[in-house]
Amino acid sequence: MSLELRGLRKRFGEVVAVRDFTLELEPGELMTLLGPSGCGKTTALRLIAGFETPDAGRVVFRGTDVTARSPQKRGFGMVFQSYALFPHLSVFENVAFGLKAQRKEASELGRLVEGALVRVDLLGYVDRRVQELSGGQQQRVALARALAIEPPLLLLDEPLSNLDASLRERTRTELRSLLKGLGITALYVTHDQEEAFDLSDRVAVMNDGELRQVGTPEELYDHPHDVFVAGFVGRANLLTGLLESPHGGELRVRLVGDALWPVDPEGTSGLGPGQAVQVVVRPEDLELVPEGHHASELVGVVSERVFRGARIAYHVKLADGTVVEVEANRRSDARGGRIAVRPRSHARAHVYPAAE
Amino acid sequence: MTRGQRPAASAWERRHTAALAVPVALLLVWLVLYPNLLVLAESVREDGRLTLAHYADFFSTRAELAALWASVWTSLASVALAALIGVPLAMFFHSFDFPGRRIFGALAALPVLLPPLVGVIAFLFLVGESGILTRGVQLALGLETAPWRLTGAPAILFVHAYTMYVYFYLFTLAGLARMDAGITEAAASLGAGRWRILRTVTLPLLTPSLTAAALLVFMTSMASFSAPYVFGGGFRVLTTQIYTSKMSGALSLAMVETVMLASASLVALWFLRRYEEAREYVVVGKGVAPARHRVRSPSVRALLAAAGAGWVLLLLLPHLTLVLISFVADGGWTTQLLPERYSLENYRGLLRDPRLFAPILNSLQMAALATAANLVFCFVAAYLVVRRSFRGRAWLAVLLVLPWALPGTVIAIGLATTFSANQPWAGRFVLVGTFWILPLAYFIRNIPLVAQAAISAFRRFDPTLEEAAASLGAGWMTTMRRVALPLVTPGLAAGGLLAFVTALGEFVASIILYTPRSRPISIEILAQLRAFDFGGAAALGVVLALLMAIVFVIGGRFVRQGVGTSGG
Repeated sequence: MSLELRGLRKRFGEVVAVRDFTLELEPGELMTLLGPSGCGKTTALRLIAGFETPDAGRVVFRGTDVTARSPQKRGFGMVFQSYALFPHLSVFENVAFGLKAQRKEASELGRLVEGALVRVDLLGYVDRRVQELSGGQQQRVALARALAIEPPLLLLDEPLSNLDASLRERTRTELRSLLKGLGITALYVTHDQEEAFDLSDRVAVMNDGELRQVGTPEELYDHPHDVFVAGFVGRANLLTGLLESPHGGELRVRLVGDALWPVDPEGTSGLGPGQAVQVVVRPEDLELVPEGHHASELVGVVSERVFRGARIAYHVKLADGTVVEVEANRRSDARGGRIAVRPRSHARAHVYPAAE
Repeated sequence: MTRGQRPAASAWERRHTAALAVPVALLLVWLVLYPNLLVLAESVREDGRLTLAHYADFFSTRAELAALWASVWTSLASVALAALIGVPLAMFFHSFDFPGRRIFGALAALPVLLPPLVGVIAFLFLVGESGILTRGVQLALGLETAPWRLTGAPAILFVHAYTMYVYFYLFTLAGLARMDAGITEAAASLGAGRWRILRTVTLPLLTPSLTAAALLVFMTSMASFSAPYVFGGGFRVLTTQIYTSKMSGALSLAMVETVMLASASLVALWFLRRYEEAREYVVVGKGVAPARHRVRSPSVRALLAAAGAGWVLLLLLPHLTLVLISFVADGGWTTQLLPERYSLENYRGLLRDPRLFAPILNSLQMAALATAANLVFCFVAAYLVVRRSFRGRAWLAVLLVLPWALPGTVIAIGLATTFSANQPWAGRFVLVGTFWILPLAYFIRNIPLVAQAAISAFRRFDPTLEEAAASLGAGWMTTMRRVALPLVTPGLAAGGLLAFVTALGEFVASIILYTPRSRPISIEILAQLRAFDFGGAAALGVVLALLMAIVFVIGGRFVRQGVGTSGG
């Protein structure tokens, strides 16, 4: 195990920023901490870096408890959201900063700095002042600076959030191949689900200071543990229903208008017939059909049609006012009038106990 | 995401904070708080017993009450007069665009940079009994004697108004610059005329700036010593009364007077702080650049330029007179309107006579020592106030501004009381009568200035830079040396320059504490004046002003470069 976080807890005044935070990183793993802003993910990262001290819990690195260690003694590289480049130093001096703190020889220093700059493709900018660089270049200097000290663990705090959309997308694939090539263990913080999926081996979803689910992007998307994860990772429709087990067979859920939908058996342990549940189903798992009085149909009216390039999203307003989003390919063209929504053939709805 | 407060600092951070905060707090308590408490204690003590007898003396002596009242009413009058000059001047420079607006606008703020004593003697040469203007009027009217004598309250008020208008001028300019031009334009579109806009929109919006300026002038005027000392004659205010009591050995009375003066200043400070807190709500708008009235007609432009230049020249006339007089040798000016013979004799004298040259060296040396101490101390103190949280931080910040609110006379009396006894166990050593007392006084008086500069420098740069350094393995000392110090240097240096220049011309505390062997420039100017060597005094005054200008020019370049390297 590379990094182990055991029951971390951190409170700021009345607000508990992080609680019961337990997480393990394998060596060489690229893990993302994903969550909405204010969920405590940056605090968690700062606890690992040593900028904050936990009220409870331990930070263990390669079997050694480092909770009481100061940041400079932990040696974890960190890339900051603002980059935190030293404005009074050149690109070279910025990258050399950590190496000088390690008292490297001058000759070795030059070689290591060059090596770090080559990795991020900035060798021609050695003598530039950091203010002269573009946002993307500054971001790469920040990365080179953190990597130059050859940290056993790299922490990245929303490093791409200050770049524009197209550059951000390009940079994250480059970043992944760079980090994977170095075989470095890294923990990456972001609020952007796409970024998390693009970059990581595993994603840890956080909300309200708590870890909600840890898993590969597929696991999170296909089997979200709770309504929050389902809604935060990809698009999701949230409905309410009642569990049934017709003829004692597998569970189904009865929705408004008495539509009966199949249920994903994973995560239904402890749930039984007669239980009120929250139902989550992804827009692409639904399809629009002409009303046919079928048992699985939800009947409504198309209220909105949103063009998404290859796909089109329809907002269907049901009898009780709920709006369901259905994603269809471009050829389907439903407009106005009554229409039916039903799950595609192999799709399953996720159900969770209804909140009291 | 919450980053401001750190209630549970780690053990190493707590230990480290304590290691820095304890010495800083002890030094502040010892040098800033303790002397004033000793003065307070002395004021209620007689032969080791508690007594209010000295206060009873104070309140039953006509002259004492008169001095207290004089301090208060001259300060109020100074506020009114300074506002009368400063506010219209600011509005004039703000509203109209004409050739030379920038340079004259900047010159108008000059008097605040000159040491008060130099300003005072400049007035003496212009409108004193034998001043140029006085002679002019006397000649023009064919009078036997001077048409007026520059003494008493009118003289003090005249000097105060003439020097303290700068506060109103600068605060009004700043207030106008912050004001959204859209507001006055909106008023105009609703049909309001110029005067109505001024009365119902501009002035009410300026109220916060004007109030702050008024409180500052009030405090400055309460603390003013040079003008009452030189021109007061029999008219005493608290500062001169304290000086007289101290010199005549009426120490208990001096303590009571000091307590009264300090209390008045602290009350004003309290109001000022309260007002500044309230002011934050008043600043509205995104600050659309105000539309300056661009005058098209060339003749009106010329007229405006002439008016602006004339106004500023009038305000700078005393200082120009000072330069003129410095070139007048002994006996070169008897009864004529203007001196007839000019020479460099006074300046040559300065260089040749070690008795005259020594004070310049003394002042440079003492100011340099004090400023060096200010820089080191205030860097650490500002770091603590901005970057660390610990119990008592707010009190530390208060102690850092306190010397600014206390008149120089109060600080001097405190030091004279504290450091005239040898009681090492009570933190008292004999420094009065040694070289060290004045650098110490300068150090204390300039703590607020340098600390404020350092605090805003620390606030301006992102604390994550320090965290970045730590994440790269740099220890605290390395982080301070390689990251924090280079980044706060421009701001800190600007504060240091101002402190150095202030210490160079310091007079108020010096006159109470100086020792003849290490007397500063200001004391020597006074000695020359006493010996009726006006040329010599003027030359020293000019040298002082020149030294300050040199420091500003050289320092300004250095600071700007520094800003250049850390800008971004």
